[in-house]
Amino acid sequence: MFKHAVNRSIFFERATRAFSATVSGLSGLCARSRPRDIGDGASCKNIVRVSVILLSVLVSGCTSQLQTKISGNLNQLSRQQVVAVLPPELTGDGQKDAGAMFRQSLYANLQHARFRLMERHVVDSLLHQNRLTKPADLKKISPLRLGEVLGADAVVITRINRVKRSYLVLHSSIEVDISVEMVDTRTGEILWRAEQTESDFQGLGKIPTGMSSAVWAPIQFVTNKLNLNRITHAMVTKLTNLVKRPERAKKEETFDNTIIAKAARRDLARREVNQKANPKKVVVATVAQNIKKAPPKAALGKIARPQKKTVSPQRNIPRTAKTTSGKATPVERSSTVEQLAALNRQPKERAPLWEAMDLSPRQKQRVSPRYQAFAPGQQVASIPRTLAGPARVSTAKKPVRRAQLPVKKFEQVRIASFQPPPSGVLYTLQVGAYKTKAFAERALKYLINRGHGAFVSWFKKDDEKIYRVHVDKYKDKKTALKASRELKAKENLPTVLSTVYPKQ
Amino acid sequence: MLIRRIFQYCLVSGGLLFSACTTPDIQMVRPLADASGPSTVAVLPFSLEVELDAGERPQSIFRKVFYSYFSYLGYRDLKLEEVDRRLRKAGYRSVQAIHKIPRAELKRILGVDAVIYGRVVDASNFTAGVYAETRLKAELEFWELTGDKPLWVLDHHEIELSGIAQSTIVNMVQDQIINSETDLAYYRSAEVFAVKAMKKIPDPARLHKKHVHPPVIKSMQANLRPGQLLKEGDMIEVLLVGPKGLKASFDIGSDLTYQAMQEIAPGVYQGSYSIKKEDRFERALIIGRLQDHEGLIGKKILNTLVSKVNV
Repeated sequence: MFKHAVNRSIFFERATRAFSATVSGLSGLCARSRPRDIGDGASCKNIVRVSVILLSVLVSGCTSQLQTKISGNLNQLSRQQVVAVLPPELTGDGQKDAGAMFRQSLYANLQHARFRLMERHVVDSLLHQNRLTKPADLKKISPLRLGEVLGADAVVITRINRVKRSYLVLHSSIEVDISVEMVDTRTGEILWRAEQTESDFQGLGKIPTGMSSAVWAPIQFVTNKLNLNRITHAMVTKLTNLVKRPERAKKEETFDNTIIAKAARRDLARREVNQKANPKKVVVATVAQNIKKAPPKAALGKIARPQKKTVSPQRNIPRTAKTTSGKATPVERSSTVEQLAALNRQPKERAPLWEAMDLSPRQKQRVSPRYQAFAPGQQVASIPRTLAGPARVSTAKKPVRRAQLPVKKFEQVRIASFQPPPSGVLYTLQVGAYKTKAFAERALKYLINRGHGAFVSWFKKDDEKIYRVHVDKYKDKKTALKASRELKAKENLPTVLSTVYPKQ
Repeated sequence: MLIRRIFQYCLVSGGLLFSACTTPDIQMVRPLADASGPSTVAVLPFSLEVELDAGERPQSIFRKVFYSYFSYLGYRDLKLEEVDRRLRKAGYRSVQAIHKIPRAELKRILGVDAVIYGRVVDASNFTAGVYAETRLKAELEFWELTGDKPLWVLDHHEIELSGIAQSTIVNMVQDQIINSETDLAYYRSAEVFAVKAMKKIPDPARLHKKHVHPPVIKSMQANLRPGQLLKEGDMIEVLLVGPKGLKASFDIGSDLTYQAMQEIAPGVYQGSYSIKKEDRFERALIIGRLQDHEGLIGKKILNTLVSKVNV
């Protein structure tokens, strides 16, 4: 009952002033009431006794026990940062009033802190809309998730552990026990943790002024809601002192290490596991840096390196990317070479950003490795065809494919070899020739969907246009023939070796 | 003799004590449901209508305490410092002049839907021997800036007494300690006033539950690989897609916050950050943020933990 955790120095200073005022008042009363010639020494002794009792009771009257610690990172919160005070968790009956008073008082006190508070009705509304209506469950949810739901940089999670009212005829008391935690929703770090018990009593211990007071005061104390409010407010004022002025924290009031909330730790671990579960096969292929007219900050998707290395692509880039079976896959080669060729050209548009994210199985099926683009200096990850890995991954909806692809444009796009042969002729695998443009487009569309670097060229014969569908371009005949055999084996497509001249 | 004196004090103090235990009187001029639903409110500087000793400023204390508790209700409140700053910028410094500003002009200066006028009619703090008293009497009016009548008017007289009327000697002495410091005494009275007033002031959040619609980030991308190790000079670029015309920013963990982004196309926001030598990122998440004009924030976290290699 008599616990001592009050700021004693300030309290005793005030107690001394009050004591002197009281003693003078009491002695004044004594002087008026009793003649001076009867037992002056005895009256003085009584006054001293009363004062001593009074002082001892003053120290023990209203008690508080507070344990609070903050993180050094709490200092970084500024007026820009938004903190949401969540509804308190109630652990027993009859705590609803105390919970509401506590939250209101917390709001009122934290208005003077460095950070900005999110409006209470906005917090409640967002929690309700996201079906997070049970305060008891809020601590189990990852703070990172709460940050996304509320848009807050930190959340304050509170719990009313106990609200105890006791009445024993000539004595009554109210005790409130709470615990508070402020968690950063960006990292899961606990910025502030506190536990406090505040109690006050009324009755004989406070020296009633009369018999009626001795009976009436305890009843009034325990039933008057204002007393609960007063205790709650006193508790919150002490509780939030450190949060309002974190620079005044002593060493023992600061966490030694960074503490991450349990729910956040689980969430971060899950994200790390997800990252590791989507590995990419990295093929050593340092891309040539000496691309003309390529501004360092032009393309998105580039990680600009301060030192550029000039590497001959011919030496470093394998013509055939070998798989475990040792066979060259046309997709891998074409995609890699295609990418390199794309880098050699001046990019008219910024390369799309990409980022490997957790994809649902449905999303993974939709992703095509076609759109991958890498910046100079970046290691190229070859994405095996079997893995529908994220080449272009985003949370945006995939753009609707155009029904008809213009024929002419594809001659410019698909260049498998980045370096034109000296003769100027490139070998290609022709898979079909059509008089009707629509048939050629259909075949083209089929091959592109299968991941081949297909294109269409046309020529005139007897005043009639013939549309030829080709797959890839190679600078030497031997490679082209090998690719032809593989294409037939995989796609069951007979091919004819043909030649094309690269567009100037 | 002593008993007779004590009895006289008890009668007087008892009367005072009962008179102090009052609740605020609020008069609803118009029902809140009929109001146009003011969402933003500014608490104007309160006036003081009684002469006090130099240094005593109960009206400022009361305004600050009242605002702290009023912000708990379902309004979006303009910060007191911001209210004062905008009024000063418009050339209004004295409280009397501020209270005379036409409401249309106030709306233009402050940009809010409603204001609260406060007048501290009586304030006093008295401590002598075993007796201490703090009085605070104030009137508050809530005005919509488009209307010609207030929405509600509240007046209350809060008296904190300590003395013979106290039931225990310990409480008497404790209260005297508090009363001996004037500001603290006014603060305590203002707080009790504010707590009682909040029970009477209609809360729009209680009357009608509004759905809140923070901006939604449709997609977010960054030029990073999962678990990528960054070095000094590396450029992180972030792209956000969401509603157009908003304020976009991104964070990297808690070390780099509110990195501004530009709207490069309607609804497409782009931002970048070059890693510096002093940066210390370890398993940090990239978090995108979109903020609308009402201050509502939508956030999205990328599933990429980035770390910086310190070479």
